[in-house]
Amino acid sequence: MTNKQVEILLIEDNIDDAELAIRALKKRNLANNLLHISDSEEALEYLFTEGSNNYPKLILLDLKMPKIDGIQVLRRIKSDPEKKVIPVVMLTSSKEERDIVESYNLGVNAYIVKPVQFDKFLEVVDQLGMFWLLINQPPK
Amino acid sequence: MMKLYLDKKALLGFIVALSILILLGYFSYRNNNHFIKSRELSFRATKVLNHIEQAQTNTVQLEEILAKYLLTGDSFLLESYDEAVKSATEHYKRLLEMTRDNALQQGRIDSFRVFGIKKLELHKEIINMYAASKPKAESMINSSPNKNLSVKIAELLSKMRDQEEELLNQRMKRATIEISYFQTTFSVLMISTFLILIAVLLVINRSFRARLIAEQKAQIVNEELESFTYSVSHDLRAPLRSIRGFTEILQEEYGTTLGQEGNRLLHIVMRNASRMGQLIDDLLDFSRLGKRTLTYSKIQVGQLVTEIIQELIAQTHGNVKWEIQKLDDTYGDARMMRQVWENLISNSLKYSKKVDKPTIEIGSFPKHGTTVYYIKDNGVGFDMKYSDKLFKVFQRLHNIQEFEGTGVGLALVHRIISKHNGVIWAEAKVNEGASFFFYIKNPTV
Repeated sequence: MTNKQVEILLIEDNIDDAELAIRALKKRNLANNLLHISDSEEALEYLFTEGSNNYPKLILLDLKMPKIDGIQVLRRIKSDPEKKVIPVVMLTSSKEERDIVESYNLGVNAYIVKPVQFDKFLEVVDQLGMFWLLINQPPK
Repeated sequence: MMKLYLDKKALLGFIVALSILILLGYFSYRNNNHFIKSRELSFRATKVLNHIEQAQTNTVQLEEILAKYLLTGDSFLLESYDEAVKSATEHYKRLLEMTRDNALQQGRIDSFRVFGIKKLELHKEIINMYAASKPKAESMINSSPNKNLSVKIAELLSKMRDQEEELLNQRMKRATIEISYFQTTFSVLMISTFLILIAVLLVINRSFRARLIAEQKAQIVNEELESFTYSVSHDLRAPLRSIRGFTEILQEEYGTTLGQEGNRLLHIVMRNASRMGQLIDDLLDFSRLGKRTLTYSKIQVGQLVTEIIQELIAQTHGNVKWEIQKLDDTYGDARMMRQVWENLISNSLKYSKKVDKPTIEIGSFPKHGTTVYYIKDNGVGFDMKYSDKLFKVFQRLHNIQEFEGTGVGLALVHRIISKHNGVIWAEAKVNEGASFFFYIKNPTV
């Protein structure tokens, strides 16, 4: 995986949720170049260590995580002059208005409330991957 | 009738304070009245003294005029004499009238009248004598009967004066005491009023403080509740998603090896996980409603109901017969009122779908200056003896196998209607359908 360009970076502390997401992505053949980091601190390290040339095509970010939560990670990414171009999609359980507002204020690219039903989750992941990996044209 | 929120202690304090003020007010008034009466009596005594003085002067004048007449024989003097008699009579009448309450003085005045008449008779004799013999008349005027009579009259008037002076003295003393009584009770009244006002101020201040503290506590509770619902929303849904997701994967990937019974059991797990998700969502909706404020706008109820029915028909392809009457417009929170109609209409649909010819009627009628809306179905209905549970959260009148639901829908409706200062009620019979009625208050009324 190291020599391949990472397409999706999944930052999610709950490994069960991560597995569901990965399975859903796999079903659509989108998980070939996926990296899952379950610790937000590690994820920031991955993105921001000196000379890091890690530009995933998409970051899927969980909102509620121990230590550094999703909002803080988002703020760090979107305030970085170079990394801010990476599309970030919030994946979360809560549809709390204040979280949604804050995420958009920080420049999130999409905000998705994970549905309880797996078939619906599949649909969401499907559309998500299609759009950001295949349709969306990122800046060079 | 004003509703009382005071506790017994405050009410008792109020009654005691009121009694004190009334009592002091009464005594102030009474003492002031006494003072005014004493002052009037003093005034009358002064007048009486004045009349006594005048009467005395008149009697002396009579004697002098008569003496002069005897000297000069001037008939003009007789006219002055008559005037003095008239004046003395006038003073006598006034004295009689003004001392009516004093038997002793009345007796003296009567003696004054008797002596006066005697005196005048004597004087008449002297005047008559004067025509016959001047020296005889002169001797009569200086005779002891005439002199004695003058002395007696002077003594009588002097006694009257002494008593009236004594009376005046007493009355003035009493007036002085009474005015000081009045001043004392009035001062006590003022001080009491002042103290009571201070007490009232303190009580009001304390109650405001208590209210502020209660409000702060409620604020803390609200914040705690908010963070609680936030964790519920996040933390309860996550494991549920895993249960549901992995069961689905299990069924998908190993469904063939599990057999029919295994698949049935998996299905039950999934169904319950979904239901729990629904419960959590409904609960959150319900608790969020509490802090949301109303945004009033005009609602075209007829249009709203038609829209909702079309959406619901698209989902449930039933054979329901709809009877929609003309629906009046109203004012309310558009988002919340849509929720009300959605819940009520989908309820009617749900509970009438098992009857042969389901019919749902929706209409409105004016009542008590507002519009009552109703929705009536011919579904399974319910027993009115459970109607108190109808609008309570998580309370259901049908079991989950018969009819889906979490028991939040009508609770939500009730809460929205209450937030609009409205009322909702239902009428139903088992197997004969249910009718829901509600009205909301216009914010400007």
